[in-house]
Amino acid sequence: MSIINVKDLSKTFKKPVREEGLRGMVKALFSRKYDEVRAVDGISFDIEEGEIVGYIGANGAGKSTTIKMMCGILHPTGGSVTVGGLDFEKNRQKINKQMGVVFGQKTQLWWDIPLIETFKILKSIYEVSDEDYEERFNYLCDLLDMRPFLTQTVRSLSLGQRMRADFAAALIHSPKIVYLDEPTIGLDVLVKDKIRGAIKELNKKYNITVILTTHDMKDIEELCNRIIIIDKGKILYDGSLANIKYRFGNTKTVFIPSNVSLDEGELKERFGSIELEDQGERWALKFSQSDVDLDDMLLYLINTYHIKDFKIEDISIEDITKQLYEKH
Amino acid sequence: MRYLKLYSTYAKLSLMSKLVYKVNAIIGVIAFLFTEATSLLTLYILVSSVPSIDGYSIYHIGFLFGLTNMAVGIDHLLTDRLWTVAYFEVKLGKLDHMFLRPLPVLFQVIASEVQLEALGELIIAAALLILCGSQLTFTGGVGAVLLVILGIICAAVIITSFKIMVASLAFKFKRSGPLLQFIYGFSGYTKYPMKIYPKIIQAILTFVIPLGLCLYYPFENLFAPMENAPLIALAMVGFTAVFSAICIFVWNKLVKMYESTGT
Repeated sequence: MSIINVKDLSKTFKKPVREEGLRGMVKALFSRKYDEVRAVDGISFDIEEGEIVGYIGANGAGKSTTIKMMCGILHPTGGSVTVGGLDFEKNRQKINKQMGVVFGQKTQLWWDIPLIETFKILKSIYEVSDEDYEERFNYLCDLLDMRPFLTQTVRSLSLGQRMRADFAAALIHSPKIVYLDEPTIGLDVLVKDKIRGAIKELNKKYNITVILTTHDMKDIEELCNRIIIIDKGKILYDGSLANIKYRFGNTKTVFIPSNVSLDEGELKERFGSIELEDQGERWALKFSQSDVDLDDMLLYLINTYHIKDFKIEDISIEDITKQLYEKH
Repeated sequence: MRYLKLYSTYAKLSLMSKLVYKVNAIIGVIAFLFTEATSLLTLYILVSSVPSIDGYSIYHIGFLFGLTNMAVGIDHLLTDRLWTVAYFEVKLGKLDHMFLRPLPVLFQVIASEVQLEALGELIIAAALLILCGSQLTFTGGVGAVLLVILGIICAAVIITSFKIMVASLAFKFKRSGPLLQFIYGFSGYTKYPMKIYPKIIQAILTFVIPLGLCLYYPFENLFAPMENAPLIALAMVGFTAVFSAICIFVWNKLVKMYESTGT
């Protein structure tokens, strides 16, 4: 059953046209010229209950603007968002009770007081019964290992502790939907794993619907069964992760130092469809694993050029969106 | 009832936050106490050089000053976050979390800050009412005192409503602090008897921004009981209700224009 329905959603921001410098700023005071920036441009999709959806795109693609409209922070310029059949115009508070939101770059916790107090006030705000609160609070404390810092003030927490606390705060009222806007940004591997593990467990145990924006491909791979890719406010792809991986996920890039004198002709002759790029301090060798065997190529590079230092990267979300955009 | 309970929880957290920085909180109260005392001293020097202003003695002026400060202080104590909304929080996209909670944004803005500095204002106001009041002869009875109390409450609601309306302009223009500062200065007019102002200002303070209606008429009624005092009480409540309804309506319209910031 569809729990979120997004239909022809768009958001336009009006920005005053300003020339550069102080003179430009002064002129803009007397000008009525505006540029219209269409951050989200008529997108539509449905999200089913219990889905974990990765909402991805490059910086400035319109991800956060969409999420902010989906959780009621921004009012759409056009189109609609309904949650469980309700719209924000008349039912914002009802919808808010059903959802939890984590912004990786903005905390929702009370900054100057012990963390435990934030949970107490959230209990009152969301009208959680004593029994439900105890059960949920203890469960989240154990799941996210929060007990050691419950009595510390929020400002004294490390980023990892704060993110775990923000995550728990978004879930204390047992929401049906959780929006996670870059929840693992800036976190170390251990905390990332803990957050991902918690998302998986909550989805499995409570059938929570999760909408996740991230730049971390591992978040997507570990959590999402569906992804929506957005660029310049439009949806470029909406489908399974398996499909997009099939189309792009096999692309790898091997970086080697620029002091190695590569023979481009020979490399192309040997490995076929390989792209070679001189990036100044390093060479980037881009290829699809369907055409080139990674082990073969590394062996060849080590034996032929005696390289001692190299780095392998998967295709980035930015590259996928770029390639998708070029195809459209 | 739910909102009252929530308000007390929010207020408790705000006080806890303030008391984390003990020295800052104490300095804030003392600073406001000094600011108010200086303003009072200036007034005293001005007024004491003349025997009376339009028939009002220095004690009358001091008493009215106390009434105004009481209303201003109550507003300052309970709704101070509107200033930061008007100056910074809309521009910096700091209100996102308030749109995510199942409560009105305005309630959260108001409930989330108890400004201890206002105690300085309230202490001065109480001292003035006691000291100047002890030198004056009141002919009004208990009803007149109740009218004054009602007037202070209504005046505080009017000041808050004005702040709400002007602060909400920040949702459209990103910042409305300087305008709020300018308009807030109008509350200073009610520190002096309305009779000394031109008719146009008297009309504005009675019907447009009914601060004068709520503070000056009950003040007069203490010394010369008016026959139509119940009507004045009704007018005070009516004007205050209409005025605050208009201001909240403007807030509710403009709050939809909140744009947050990029991430």
